[in-house]
Amino acid sequence: MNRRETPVAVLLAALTIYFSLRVPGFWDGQGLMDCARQYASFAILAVGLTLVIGSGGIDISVGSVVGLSAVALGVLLTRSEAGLVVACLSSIAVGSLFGLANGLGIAMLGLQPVVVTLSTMAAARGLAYVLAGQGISSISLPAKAEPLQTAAYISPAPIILALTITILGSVVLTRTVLGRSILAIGANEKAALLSGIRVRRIKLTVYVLTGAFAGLAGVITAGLMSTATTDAGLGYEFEAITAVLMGGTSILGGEATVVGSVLGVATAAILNRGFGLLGLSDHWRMMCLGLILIISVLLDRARKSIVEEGVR
Amino acid sequence: MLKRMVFHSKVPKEIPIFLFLVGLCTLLALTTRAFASASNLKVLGTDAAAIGIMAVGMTMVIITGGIDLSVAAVLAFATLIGGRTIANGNVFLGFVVTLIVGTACGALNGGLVTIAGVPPIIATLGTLYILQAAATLLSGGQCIILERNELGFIGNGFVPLVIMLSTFATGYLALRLTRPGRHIYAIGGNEEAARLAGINAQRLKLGVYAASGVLASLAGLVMMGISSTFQANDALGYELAVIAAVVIGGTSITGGQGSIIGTLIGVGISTVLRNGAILVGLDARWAQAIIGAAIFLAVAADKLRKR
Repeated sequence: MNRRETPVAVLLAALTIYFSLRVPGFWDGQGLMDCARQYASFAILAVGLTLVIGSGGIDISVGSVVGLSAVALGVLLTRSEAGLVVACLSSIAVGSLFGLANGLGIAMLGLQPVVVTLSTMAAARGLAYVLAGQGISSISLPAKAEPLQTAAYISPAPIILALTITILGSVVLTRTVLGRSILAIGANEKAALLSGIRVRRIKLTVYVLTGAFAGLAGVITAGLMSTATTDAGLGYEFEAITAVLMGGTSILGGEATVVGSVLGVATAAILNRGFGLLGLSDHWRMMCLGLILIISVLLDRARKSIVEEGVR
Repeated sequence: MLKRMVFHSKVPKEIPIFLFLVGLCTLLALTTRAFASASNLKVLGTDAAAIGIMAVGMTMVIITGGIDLSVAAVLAFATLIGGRTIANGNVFLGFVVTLIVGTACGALNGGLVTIAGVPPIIATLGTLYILQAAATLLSGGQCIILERNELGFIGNGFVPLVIMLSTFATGYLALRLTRPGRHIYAIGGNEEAARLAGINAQRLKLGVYAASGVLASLAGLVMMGISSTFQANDALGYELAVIAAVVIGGTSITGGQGSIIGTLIGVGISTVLRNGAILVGLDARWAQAIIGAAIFLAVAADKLRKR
């Protein structure tokens, strides 16, 4: 295993052992499946964010886009004639559109990723509220959404989908021209440009892809809960970014690992299940994740300075 | 020559947004009867106060090339700690404790950014969730209620507005006339050059984040003074409104440029937009979508102006 993923693998193993010993019923099959199903959306978001952060950017709008996509699905299914497939595809398209807006601002206008995605974060959440309508904060999915609910809630489809996207993401990042170009841009954008990489087009692609993934995560989330809520995806960006950075992807760009990110998501999932069974409130989990986020970046910096010492 | 340089670099930057604010107010005053009423103006003043006080600190942070996502969480955490003491009757001590906790949280952000070298967005995203969770756990979901309106001296009438304007005046003078103020611009413009010119960039940045923290806690006290109650998620999401005000005010997110006057106008625009959306009968929820779009337009305009 690549050294980049070692810390997250150790953390994951340690937490698993700790919870297995301390928490009775931790290995309950149904419970683990439910947890994995719930975290499938995070894995999908994390794959997109790994590419974005690897290219030297950031996207904090993903959580809001998950919410907007879920609400769009609910609205299309309840207030229009649209069939299930059309509604799902439209929701994913809405996510891609927001990704396109991010990409245009960042790649074409050259704006700072932090602010552009901050603005779309506000805009997407606002639109989700507006779309749902005055005083409505959740929309129950109608009968025609039955297949989606079954797929998300009973079959292992979300997990299989997440694993497929993970494998594809990992292969793209490590073995294709696109992936290597993303990391080249993250390491040194100017050098990448001068060596003939189409920087703008690749950055645009990465953000659109991440938007589409967020749209997909919104559809899965709505299916899983049987309702589309305006608060869906609230704070997801924090958990997904934490997972990516604890997985060993460098916040400075240029070095990224999809496998590490998904191990990070698994760690977050285990933490969620363990804390839940121990009866600890969600706020403790958030505090832990915040600490993990900061420590991960500190580790990355320490590793970098050791490497630099070695070069000297 | 000098006059022209000053004229061309300074005035046009704030004039367009000022005209926009004036136009927006005129439009609302003409189309709705409620907008220019005394009671609504007071609502506007108190609405703007907390956001405005935090926006002064945020302007400085953004001028150094950083960002502080944690302001609303610092506000909640500090105010809940000090608020208990105030509710128990020890107003002065609680006041001081709130400000000290706010400064400490800001200094923690500053330490992470400078000493540990964590990018500002990640450092303050982390402290945002840590402090917000800590605040909620600390309060146990309970609301602090000041039964005797102990903080009335900062929350009654137009006092919040006066506190906000004094903060702006202090911030303006500090950035314009003091040596550290000018150095903050130098750091944001080119940190390496500033460092080589003998500026202690690390210490200054630490100070700027600490200032953002203390102003957040002051904003919390003002909020508690206005409503006489406070709970952990009263300020949830305020960081967006604060950053929006600063960016709309023309402060460049890449650092090195920005003005406190611009931020004041930005606070006005974001407050009036929210207030106006409600007055003209648009769903209040439109406001967030509009503010998101406004941030995007403001940074895009900043970029185009520089080209």
